[in-house]
Amino acid sequence: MTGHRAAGSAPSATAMALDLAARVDCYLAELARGLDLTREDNFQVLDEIRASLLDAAEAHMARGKRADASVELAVTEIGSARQLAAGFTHVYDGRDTREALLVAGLPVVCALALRWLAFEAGGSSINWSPLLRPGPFLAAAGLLLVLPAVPFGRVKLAMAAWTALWGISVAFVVLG
Amino acid sequence: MDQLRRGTTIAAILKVVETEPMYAYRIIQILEGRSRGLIPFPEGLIYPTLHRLEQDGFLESQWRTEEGRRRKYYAITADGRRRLTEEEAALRSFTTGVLRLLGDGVDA
Repeated sequence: MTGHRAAGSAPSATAMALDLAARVDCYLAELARGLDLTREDNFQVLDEIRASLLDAAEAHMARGKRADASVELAVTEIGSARQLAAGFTHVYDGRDTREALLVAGLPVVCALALRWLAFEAGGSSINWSPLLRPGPFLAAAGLLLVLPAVPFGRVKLAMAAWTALWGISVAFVVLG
Repeated sequence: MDQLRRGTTIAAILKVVETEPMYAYRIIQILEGRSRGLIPFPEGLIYPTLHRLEQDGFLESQWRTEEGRRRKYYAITADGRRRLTEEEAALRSFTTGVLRLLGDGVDA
């Protein structure tokens, strides 16, 4: 990023800004490698840290430090990218696990409800025959099938758990 | 000690945003100013803690763009205020207990 400078001349404000941004981007790239978050969370974390690093570097420059020293100080203060990434991953892991459990638990609850409502001996719990009409049945089944793909961050994890538990649930209903 | 450190960090962060929404770098500056180096607040600990508090519903956030820079502002929620009251009470009680143990001017 410094090749555009004339030898021996003082760096321009634009060149300094580019150098600063390049060092910040380098730190963010390392941070991004360590993050194991959804795309949106990743983007937001990196955006927040970028703003903080630039704020910190500019504060050091305002106190008379050179641009390169300022950005290095800012990076030192925020700490190792790897440790910061681990901190964020730890925070988001809990939420993703809760989401996955929610997705996985849903079919179990549905299967148990279905068993109680529709497969009660003699079908006496409710008048369940309307449940098996193609239209409503397919609509409900379709809704349940697409649910995990919509709002959840860790789609792969959720889908794996969801598929496995659906299989168990169906087996439970059919064989039980 | 980890629990005490966590409680202190949470109380300190919630206290800073108690009166107005603030972004992370500003929160850190204020924490450093208030603690005057007596209690270290490593930046690498503050950012994940802010996100944790947001996930737990003690903070809410809003993105704002100022002078071409996107900043995430954190504001305290009603649950956050309750949590702050609890953490403050716990810390004051702990501090009083320690001062008593040390015989440092606190009556029994």
